[in-house]
Amino acid sequence: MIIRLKNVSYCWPGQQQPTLNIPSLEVEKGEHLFLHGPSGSGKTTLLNLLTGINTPQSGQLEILETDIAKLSESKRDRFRADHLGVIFQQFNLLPYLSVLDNVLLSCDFSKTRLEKAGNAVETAKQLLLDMEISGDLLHSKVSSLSMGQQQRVAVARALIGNPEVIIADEPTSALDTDNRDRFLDLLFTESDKHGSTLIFVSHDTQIQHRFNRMVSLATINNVDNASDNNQINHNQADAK
Amino acid sequence: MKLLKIAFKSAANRKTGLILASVSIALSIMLLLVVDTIRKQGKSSFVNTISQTDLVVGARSGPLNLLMYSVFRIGNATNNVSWKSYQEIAAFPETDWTVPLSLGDSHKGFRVLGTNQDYFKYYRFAGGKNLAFAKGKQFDDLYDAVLGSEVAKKLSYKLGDKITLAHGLTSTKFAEHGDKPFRVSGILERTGTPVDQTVHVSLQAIEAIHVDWLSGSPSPIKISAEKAREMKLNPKTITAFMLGLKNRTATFRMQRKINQYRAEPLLAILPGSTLAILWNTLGNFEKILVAIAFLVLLSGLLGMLTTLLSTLNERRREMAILRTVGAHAWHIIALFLLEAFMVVLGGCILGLIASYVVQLVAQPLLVQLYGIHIDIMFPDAEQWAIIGGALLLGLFFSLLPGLIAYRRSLQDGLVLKV
Repeated sequence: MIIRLKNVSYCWPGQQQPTLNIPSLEVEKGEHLFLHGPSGSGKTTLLNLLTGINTPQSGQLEILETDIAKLSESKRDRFRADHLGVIFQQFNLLPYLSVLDNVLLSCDFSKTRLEKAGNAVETAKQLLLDMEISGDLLHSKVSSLSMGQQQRVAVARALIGNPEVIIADEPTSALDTDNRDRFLDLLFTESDKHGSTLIFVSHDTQIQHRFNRMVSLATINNVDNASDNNQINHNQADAK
Repeated sequence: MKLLKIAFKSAANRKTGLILASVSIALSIMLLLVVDTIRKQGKSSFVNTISQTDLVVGARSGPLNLLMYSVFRIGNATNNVSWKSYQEIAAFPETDWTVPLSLGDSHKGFRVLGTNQDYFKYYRFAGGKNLAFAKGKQFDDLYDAVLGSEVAKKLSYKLGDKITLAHGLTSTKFAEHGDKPFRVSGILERTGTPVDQTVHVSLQAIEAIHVDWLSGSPSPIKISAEKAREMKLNPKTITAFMLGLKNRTATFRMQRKINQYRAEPLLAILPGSTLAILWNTLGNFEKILVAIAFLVLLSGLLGMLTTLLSTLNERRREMAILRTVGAHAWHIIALFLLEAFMVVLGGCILGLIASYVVQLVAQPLLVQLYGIHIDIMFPDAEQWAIIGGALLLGLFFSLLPGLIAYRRSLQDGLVLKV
């Protein structure tokens, strides 16, 4: 089991109700998990927990059999750098670095991934080639790339140094259908090749059939949003 | 190392604002350094101008005025001292020595001083140093001239060159003493005082070139240089004179005696104390300059702070990306510190260079206009402290945006707000 959540609950500071309360979620190695998360379902919170930016107030959250809530803040940063690759919705790349340097950024902050990548520059070039980014773009500015190309560069960065888990946060939402399908093909092929487990968060149900498993965050998250709203309304009424 | 590279490339990506911030810091550093140099060197140059002269005597005007024209050769005397009064005071029992000074002519913008050989014997500067000759010797012949080092250097004169003096301070063709050329007999060593800017001739020479002049303009009757030699060339007036006493305790008594001199309204001043008064007047001005320079530095640093703060929003994404690839929160603060360090360091280097440019340009002007000589020198400990202080202050200022970005990166987590 590569990720295991048990009775994980998280409450943002200043709020009375937890935003997230997940009795159980397990992800197996090599799985392609489609996590359906419409807005308001606690998606942001879950991603922050999985990447170790925030830690749950209660419950157990194990990634690679490490209870990351027990790590110090800087150890969590190191853990994230060593074992996780993250892809955002859009604007994943630093505009002042070249395409190649953006990919190598993952190795800049993690010795583990630098070692795993071997000859980092060659590995990065190969990854970009695999992601169908032609060689003449290696040293060009990020801004000269199309949105689809930028997202594929982001995948190369997430994959370099073979992190165990790839977390993608709606990476296809800014892409058209053709680009989206091409992106998914490449993402699946490459993450399988590198043995990475994929957690793909999206609300685009059109693509969920392409994944091994679909989990709806609204279903596993055991907080009552309605009562949450009521609570807020009550508070406002009290204030009046 | 990687962080430094990222900080540099990120800053280069936003260079316009940062370069402007750097330039404004450079201006203030330049101002601070120049003011500091002029303050220090100006003071020593000023105080060193004249020493061991007990009194300077001239026609009655203000003490500062007398000091300015007699010692610094700035401005003009309002009146002269008669030769007779000079002779009488020189013969006072308290008087040890006197040196007559006769001003009013010029050579290519440099003042001409008529005096006698005692000048080279008694004039002291920088705490008691004598004038020394770099080349040649003092004037012997009627038409000999001794040049200050700056005059010789600037006009590239050597011994034996012929020079023509001009009447008054502006050189016009109509007011030249062209018929009586002088020969350079000696060139003095550099003193860092107005002496460097002076052409010295004998009192008799001053008389000789004016024998055929009447009330400030050439008379139609010409008297040749050789003919002038045979005439009686006793001066009727001089501009001022320096006076040394046998016993310095008599200074104030002698001063009163001269100030109450019946035959002619005269003024005697103690050059040292008058210099001090003058410097104190300038000193306030200098304090204001230093205060302004510090305020300019502060506003330069605030400008940088504004630039850094204004980039916080656009850098939110950058910070989130760096956090996802494993940057610690302190990396984020370090990025801001490094950026501020680059901006301030750039400003300091630029300011240092600019301060030397300004000093090089100002050096001849200061000497010409105020008789103050500044040496171009390597920054001293205090000036390095100014530069170091600016760097520290810059780093301190950049902590604010750094901490804001740090807090935000914790709040934002990995989710980008587009």
